[in-house]
Amino acid sequence: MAYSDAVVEKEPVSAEAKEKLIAFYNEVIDPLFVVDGDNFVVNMKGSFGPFLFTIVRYAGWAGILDSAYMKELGAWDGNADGWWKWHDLQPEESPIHMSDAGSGPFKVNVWDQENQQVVLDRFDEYWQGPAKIKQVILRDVQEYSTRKALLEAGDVDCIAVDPIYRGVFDDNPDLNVIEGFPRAQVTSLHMTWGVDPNSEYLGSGKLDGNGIPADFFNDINARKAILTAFNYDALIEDLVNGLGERVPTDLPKGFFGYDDTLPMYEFDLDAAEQAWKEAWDGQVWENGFKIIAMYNSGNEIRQTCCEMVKVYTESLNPKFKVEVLGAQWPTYLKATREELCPLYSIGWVADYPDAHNFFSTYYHSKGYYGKRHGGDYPELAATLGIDDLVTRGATEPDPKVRTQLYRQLQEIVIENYIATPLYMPQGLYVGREWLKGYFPHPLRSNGDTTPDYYYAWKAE
Amino acid sequence: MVDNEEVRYKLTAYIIRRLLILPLILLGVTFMIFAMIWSLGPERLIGTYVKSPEALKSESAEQRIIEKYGLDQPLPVQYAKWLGNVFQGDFGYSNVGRTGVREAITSRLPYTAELAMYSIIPVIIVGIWLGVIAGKNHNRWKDHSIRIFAIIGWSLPDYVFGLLVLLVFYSWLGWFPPGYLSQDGLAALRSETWNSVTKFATIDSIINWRWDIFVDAIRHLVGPIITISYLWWAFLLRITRSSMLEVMRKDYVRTARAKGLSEKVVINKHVKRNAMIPVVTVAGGMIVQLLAGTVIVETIFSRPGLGNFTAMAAVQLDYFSIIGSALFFSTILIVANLLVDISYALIDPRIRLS
Amino acid sequence: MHMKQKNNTEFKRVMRKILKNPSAMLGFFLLIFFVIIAIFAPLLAPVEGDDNPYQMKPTKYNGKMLWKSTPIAPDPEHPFGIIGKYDVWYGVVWGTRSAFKIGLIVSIISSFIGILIGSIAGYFGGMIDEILMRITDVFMSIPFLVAAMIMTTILGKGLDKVTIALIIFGWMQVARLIRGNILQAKEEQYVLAAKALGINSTKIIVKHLLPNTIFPVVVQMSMRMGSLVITAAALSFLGVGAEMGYADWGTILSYSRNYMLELNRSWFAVVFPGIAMVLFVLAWNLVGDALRDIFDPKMRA
Repeated sequence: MAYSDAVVEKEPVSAEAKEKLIAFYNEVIDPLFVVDGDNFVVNMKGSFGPFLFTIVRYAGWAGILDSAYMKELGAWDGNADGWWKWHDLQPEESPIHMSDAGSGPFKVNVWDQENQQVVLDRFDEYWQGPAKIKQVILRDVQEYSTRKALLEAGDVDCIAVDPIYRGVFDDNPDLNVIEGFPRAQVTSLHMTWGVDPNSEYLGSGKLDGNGIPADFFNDINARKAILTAFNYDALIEDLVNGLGERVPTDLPKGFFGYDDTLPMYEFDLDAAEQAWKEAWDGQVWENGFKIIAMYNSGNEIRQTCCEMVKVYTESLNPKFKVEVLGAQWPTYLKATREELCPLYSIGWVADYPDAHNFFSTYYHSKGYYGKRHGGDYPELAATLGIDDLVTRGATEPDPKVRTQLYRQLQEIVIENYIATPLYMPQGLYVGREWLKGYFPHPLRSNGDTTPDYYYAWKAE
Repeated sequence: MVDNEEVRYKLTAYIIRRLLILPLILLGVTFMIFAMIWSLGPERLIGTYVKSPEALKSESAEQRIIEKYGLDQPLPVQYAKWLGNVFQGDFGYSNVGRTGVREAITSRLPYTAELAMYSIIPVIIVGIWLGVIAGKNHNRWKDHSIRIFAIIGWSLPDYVFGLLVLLVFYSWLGWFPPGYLSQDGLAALRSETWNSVTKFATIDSIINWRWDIFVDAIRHLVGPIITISYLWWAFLLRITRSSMLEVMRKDYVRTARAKGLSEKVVINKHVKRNAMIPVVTVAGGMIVQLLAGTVIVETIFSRPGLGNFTAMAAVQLDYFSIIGSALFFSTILIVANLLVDISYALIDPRIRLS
Repeated sequence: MHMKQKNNTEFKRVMRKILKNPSAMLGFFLLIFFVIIAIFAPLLAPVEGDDNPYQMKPTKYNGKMLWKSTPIAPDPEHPFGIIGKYDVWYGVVWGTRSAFKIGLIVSIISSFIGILIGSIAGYFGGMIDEILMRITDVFMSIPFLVAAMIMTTILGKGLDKVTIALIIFGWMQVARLIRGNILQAKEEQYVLAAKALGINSTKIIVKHLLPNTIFPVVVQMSMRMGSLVITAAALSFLGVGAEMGYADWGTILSYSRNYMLELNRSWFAVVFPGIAMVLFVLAWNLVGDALRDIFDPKMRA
């Protein structure tokens, strides 16, 4: 019995369903977590290195909360009977949506929805000792110029700055700029191997110069041609002002499994031309095509990535047409999730610091992005052993073996033009000189724009 | 001569009829917006609830959200459900405001109303003053230069002029910072001893005898007011000017002139008063526009308010917030128009109340 | 013969009025200037390739493709400088066409819809009037930003989509104006006479009522031509309008605002499209004022 059949509107459909739900809790969930005095024991099914990171410090995918306090707030009462009432809540339904619970160095004083700011007060009994700063104020100022004016006037201590504006603050002696440190993320290009044949973004759906066939990118040469007609260095040096680094596959530098001896795609228009001539038995070169490259509107870096594909690909053959299309968020979400769009720019930010987070996402045929290839990809991922390598890599305890597995995996995805990394972004922090104690951390959210409040202090 | 009794009777009947139609229009407005959003289809509407693609990692997440919010139900069903809740006082949950839609709107209204209230003073006074000068000096250099000055303000996008104001008065001079209040001011407002009567910082600060906060609030208001005023002067100037010109050609003005009254007396006694009638009629619409149309000024000056809220709701397709604020603005607009019509009828009983 | 003579003196009267009025002269002069720029856009700023000329491509700088967004000061090759990889001169020149396009299309079509609805409502009155005017009220009561946002999500982004939204939500003022005027004119002798003679309704509306009531609409249209450009610019700011890279003054301004606090580096990206926009709006306003001064029957001495 599936959960959705057993529970309707937070109530079990029958006595039998209720019994099964209770039994499920008692037999499956309960044994996983054991509270033993002050110890919280998790009994895992298999080995998974990054587990601890997902529940402590910067990731925050799950947290251990005080059960008495949670019950007081109206959260799950801890009983097997009735757990489903608290299962699968939307944020606003959760009793802790608007209250804070935790054991960190700061506590929420005010969450001012109208003025869009959060005021955090120091928690003096924090187990590592109280923080140096008494109060942290987070303000949401959407307009970049307004933010900048506030920082320059000294009314705020640090702001978020897009890498496009790097260098603007360099001459100001009152400001402290720290830049070029790694971020645990990659920006990539996505090619859909099997586009939904009914998609409005396919054009004619044929190789007649007015569109592309739905399975256009099943052909390795088409993928190769797109990836070799891309000016990676210009993207990094010019667009993001050097705040980026090339990576051979969709894995940030510094992660386990990262290997800089792997080859990287080269910006080579001759190679691209050759690949287009070979793609689809020469039909592509003969007839030309029209393809849509999509980005979510307002994201200038992604827009420029699409424009780069356009400029260089169109320069190869007058019959090649790339249309760069900005889409609003809901439309972008639909077009990318439902495999409607053949080509678009994507990115991934690490959930936890492990290669598996990237490899399973990008390359496993059931991964978040891997799944979206469609077309021949699942078959190919099985034949080439990609799926298998991703799975084995996650559970292999021996680092030496694991390194080999990942090396093998990455060689395969490079050879087959399945890996589509554009670059790995680097951080840019801009703050007042008097704000001290900043250090970058690749996995802390906002780790590139604000210091860790616990370690920060203000000089007089 | 028009019978006074008859006019009064007609006016009352007219007001009642308009008030009866009000709910019908609101129904039309909400249904239309509902239908437009609905036509996007459930796959796009999940965008309201999902801020990043990562939130949809699990296979069934999308379907769950669709089922949860009934996004795939037919339009009449969804609309009826919403309407039923509205009758019980529940306007839905605002994703942008992280609270009920009604609370989100009412809590933001004072901020915008305060700004609108203070903006309308320089807009009307200076706008009319400019219009009178331009009208008096019809086709002379004063007329031309005033009009060109005002039109320049009107034709600059508000963000360009707003940022210039910010640059000059904040970055260079340091006088008028963006935001609603300084952090100290906000802290005082949040403190338990603060007596919040009007929710207008400028007025509450006087009630609480806090001149520092009064000054603080004014400092934060000046930038937006300058921006809004300059944008609106052209509008009022044009109306005042053309109605001045019209009145000046009327027979009674000519008669007054022919009688040998000085130009000053003619203008002050006969022209100005009569020229104000059309200005009254646009004032209502202007207040609504000021309440609804301050999105950009609020964004540039980082002020809280309804404009900002509506824009964010619209950008995020926050279903219930959009409809809630549309409902709010339509009600104000209709009521304001009604008031304008009534005052117009009172000023000039000859107008037709059809 | 008689007719021609009358037209001739009327024309002379109009010309005299315009020539005597410096701000009207300025308005017409500016308008002609913009028309010339719009017509000769392909010569002033040549298009590369056979692409959609309104979609700017990242420009070349010193012979190389430019991928840097930061503003680059004017030089002989790029007289108005570069911002966001795009040539400002190209954007301003082709932006003139965008401005005319959006202004003309929106004001003509929406005025037409407004005239149609307003005259039907005003002429027939009764139930038809009631229903049409309440529909008008509904449209007027929807905040435009919300409408535009939803429309562009349905239709996709771009200036053409903004145009559609502006038309759908831009006819109500005209409808109300026309209806009010027709209500007044309906009672005039000549209309009553025409009715008594049994001339059909369409003919009465088109031949007798509209010519006497349409005049304020023309003035309003000319004013709106300018203000539509401002509205489109505001929509760009809110992320609802055209994408960056579209040749449109508002779109360029909306992008350059991120550099506005460093005017010494970026003045050209604000000043040139800004001046174009101000002059365009100014031109239509002055022309609109002039039209009213000249033609408004109430104003005729």
